[in-house]
Amino acid sequence: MTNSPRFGCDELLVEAYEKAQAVYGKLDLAIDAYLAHLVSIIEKYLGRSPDDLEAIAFLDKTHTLDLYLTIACSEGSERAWEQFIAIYRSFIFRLANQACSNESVGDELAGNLIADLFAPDRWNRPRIASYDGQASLATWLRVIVSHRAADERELKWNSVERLDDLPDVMDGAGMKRIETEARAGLCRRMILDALKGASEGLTTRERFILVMIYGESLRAKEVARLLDVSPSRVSRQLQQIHRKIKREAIAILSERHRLCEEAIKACFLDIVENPEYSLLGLLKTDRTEYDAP
Amino acid sequence: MIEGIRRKIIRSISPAWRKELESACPDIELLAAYLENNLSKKARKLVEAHLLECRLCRRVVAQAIKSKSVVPDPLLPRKTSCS
Repeated sequence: MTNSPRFGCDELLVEAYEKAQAVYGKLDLAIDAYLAHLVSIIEKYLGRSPDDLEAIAFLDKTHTLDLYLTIACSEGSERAWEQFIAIYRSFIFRLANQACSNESVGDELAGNLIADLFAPDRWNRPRIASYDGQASLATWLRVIVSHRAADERELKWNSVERLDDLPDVMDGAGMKRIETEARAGLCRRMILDALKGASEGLTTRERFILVMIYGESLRAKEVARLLDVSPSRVSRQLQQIHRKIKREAIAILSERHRLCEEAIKACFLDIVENPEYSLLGLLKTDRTEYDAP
Repeated sequence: MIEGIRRKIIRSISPAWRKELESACPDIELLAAYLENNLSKKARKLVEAHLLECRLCRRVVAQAIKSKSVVPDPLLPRKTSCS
């Protein structure tokens, strides 16, 4: 048996090893190596001498089955890698193709990712060794694929010249345009002020719901999964947030800017029709463009 | 003042998560645990606050959660014996 300290949950740790072996078969992973890895994870999260009950509860939430496979992979077991490839290869490719919306880019991303999981990290361990069982291996892979796909998109976005950055060309009716723009600018400032005020009154949770639904196009069901609440609760909260924003924006336009009802209606029409007045921009951090005088 | 409260919350949570939450972006393991609701309430709130600030992490989480309805988790091998 092993000499590793196991915080009074020896039986559970051994049981986890046996269960994993029953599922994956023998992967040339010694029980000591498996237990030492689990102990290091427990210590990482709970410190060196955690309470027994705390350690047992922690172990209960940890994906020990998936860890058996990844620890065996990181220990260089060929059988483990074969199992990993058999179970997760097509999953990774499907995830990458779904995230990239271009098959060749997706295939390349998936191929590179699988190769990188084998490759050593800065501690000279395969990348897969950093999996710590606090989510299922499938979810961990989902996040890695999504991260790489997002990085890819970010790179593309940065390499595209933005229209806003192109120099403006003054036409013949330049002066008239400036005058019109000055008037429009006043309305714009009032609308942005109202939206900014309304967004500042939202809680972090309310901003999170709006950004995820409108900014990232998640459905109420998906946001509910993230927040660990029911989808109907997210829908109800969304309606409340809409009402709250409208109420607050009306108050600012009428009290601070002294607009009459008709003018407020016109402002709201403008807000709806003009994508420039995106509340999302105010909810996220890139507030500077709206703060500019 | 808000920064003070944030630091207080960070101090009161697990040292492993604390290190990640104090740095610029949470690591893959933390985001994955967030997706599975395997974080304390306080840690979850900090991740959500970070997601509001960071477009890249927000996209990662959104993409990962969207993928769940399109690409289901792979099936594990069947148990070879009763446990």
